[in-house]
Amino acid sequence: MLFPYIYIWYLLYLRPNKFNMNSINKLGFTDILKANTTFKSEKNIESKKELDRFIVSTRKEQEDVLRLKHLNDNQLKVIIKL
Amino acid sequence: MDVLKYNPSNLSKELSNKHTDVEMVKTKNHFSYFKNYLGVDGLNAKTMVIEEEYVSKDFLHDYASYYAFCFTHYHKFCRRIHFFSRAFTLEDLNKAIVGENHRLWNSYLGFIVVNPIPITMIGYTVLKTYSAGKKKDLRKYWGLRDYKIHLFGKVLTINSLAFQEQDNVLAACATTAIWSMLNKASVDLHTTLKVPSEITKDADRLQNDGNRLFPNKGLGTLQICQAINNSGLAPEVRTGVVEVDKHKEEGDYFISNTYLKKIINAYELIGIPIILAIKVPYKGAYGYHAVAVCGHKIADKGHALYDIGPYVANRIEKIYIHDDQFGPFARAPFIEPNGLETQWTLNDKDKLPSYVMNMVVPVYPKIRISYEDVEAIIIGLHRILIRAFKEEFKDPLFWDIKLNYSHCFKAQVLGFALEEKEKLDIVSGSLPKYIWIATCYVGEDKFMELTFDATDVSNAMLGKNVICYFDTDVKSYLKSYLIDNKLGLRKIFKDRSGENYLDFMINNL
Repeated sequence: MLFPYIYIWYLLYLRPNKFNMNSINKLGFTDILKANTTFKSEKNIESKKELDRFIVSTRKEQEDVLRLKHLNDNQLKVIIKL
Repeated sequence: MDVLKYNPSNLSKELSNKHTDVEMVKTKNHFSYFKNYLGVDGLNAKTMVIEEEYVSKDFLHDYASYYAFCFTHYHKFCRRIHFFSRAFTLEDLNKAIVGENHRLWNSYLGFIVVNPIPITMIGYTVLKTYSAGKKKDLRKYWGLRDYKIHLFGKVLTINSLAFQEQDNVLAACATTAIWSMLNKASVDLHTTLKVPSEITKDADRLQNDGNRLFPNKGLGTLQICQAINNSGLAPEVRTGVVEVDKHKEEGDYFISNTYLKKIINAYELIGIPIILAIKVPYKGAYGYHAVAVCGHKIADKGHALYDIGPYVANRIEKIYIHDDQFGPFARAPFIEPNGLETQWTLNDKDKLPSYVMNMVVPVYPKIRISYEDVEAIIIGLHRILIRAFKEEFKDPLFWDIKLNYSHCFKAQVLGFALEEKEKLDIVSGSLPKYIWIATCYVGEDKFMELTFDATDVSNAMLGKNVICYFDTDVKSYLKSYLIDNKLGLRKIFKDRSGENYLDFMINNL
């Protein structure tokens, strides 16, 4: 019987950043990551080969977006008359 | 002055004029549209007040430019039909005019001006939106402004966007779409609101085929841009890149739904209607038409929120357009994967979709950084975050990228879940007038907010603020990941600013 009230209380006062915008509780690993996942701030250098591959695929995605700014001259010639 | 009960029959009579009889009015798309819009499922109008001998500035200019020189005697005065959601009589209205704060005025829905010309008589029209007055609504009419309407000595205010039909002489569809857009943009003093004939004159000196400008048969995208530029705004043009697969014609491409949704979401807070050149089904073929987008509706929460990609914009399910061949705020739901269900689609016997061929986003000239420039940066950051946390996020990571005024952003910051010092640092800092804001969410939780200068050059490092909603552990982990991999990651951002973007993140975490 008490569960709905406890849940509302949790949403309003404990759960950070969702309903109570004035709450300054910040998101921790447990809020954003899958259960039992955490990371430590220790040296974590990725292999150059891996990173290069990652950068190539990211740059491709970025270029696809930037290409949307290129105009098709034929489309610009259309007269809009209806 | 006359007071009539609102019904379709009275509406058709009042929309008619010396040159357009009631039967002709009934065949018009506008009549069907207004009948629904003002009917019980729409604004639910109960009473019409007729104001004769109304001087419409827009029509008067067009009259002086063209109709006064016709041999046929065209009247220069118009009729204005006012709509109210309360039922009342002429006697009630008289009492309300001389009295004070009569509740009849609260039921005002807006007006339609009837121009005294043949067939294309729907003139200056200002009507309330469906959601006016509702506190919570998924409809977002961002292209509206306040109109002060002077009626019998009273001043009534309506939040709307003016609409009118093209007259096929001084204005084509593109002209009226620009005119509606300027109605909103001219709230900013740098933009000039012009009447339709002036907009057409601004577009060019002759028509594209060498014919004289008036009677006007239509404008091309470049002419639309010229007219927008002459009104004090900067046009950002985009053409379609996706091939039309059905009913394909040589050289025809359209703008994808995903891209259009992103652009609408990105520019909504600046509030200037976006001009779309659309390909619509018409008389068994396709024709080109122009409309002004002034709002959109988002889907209910949870509806395919994360499934379609990492952008909040994906939640847009329909747009509201001023279509001069139908009426104001016409719904156009997206047809997935691509296309729109416009009123033209609904009128077509095969219900063929409409496609957006080109779009023109009018912006204030100081806004020089486009949406795509910012999305490219965000793609880099998004992928870095996914990689840094080894794809272990509990919920999908998604982004909301919007252009906004920095003073609006600062006002919002005061309500954010931040320490007092963080808020003061942000609001007391100097920012350009226009900024891009990219908000990152993990599921429904706000994770991070970044701001970028919208007035700079695209090769520069545009970053201004990083606001984090995560705790010190997450912050220090992300910071150390970026420092450790700075050398390898810098190439992820375009041009020579790559390293600066990583420094911007590191220094602000």
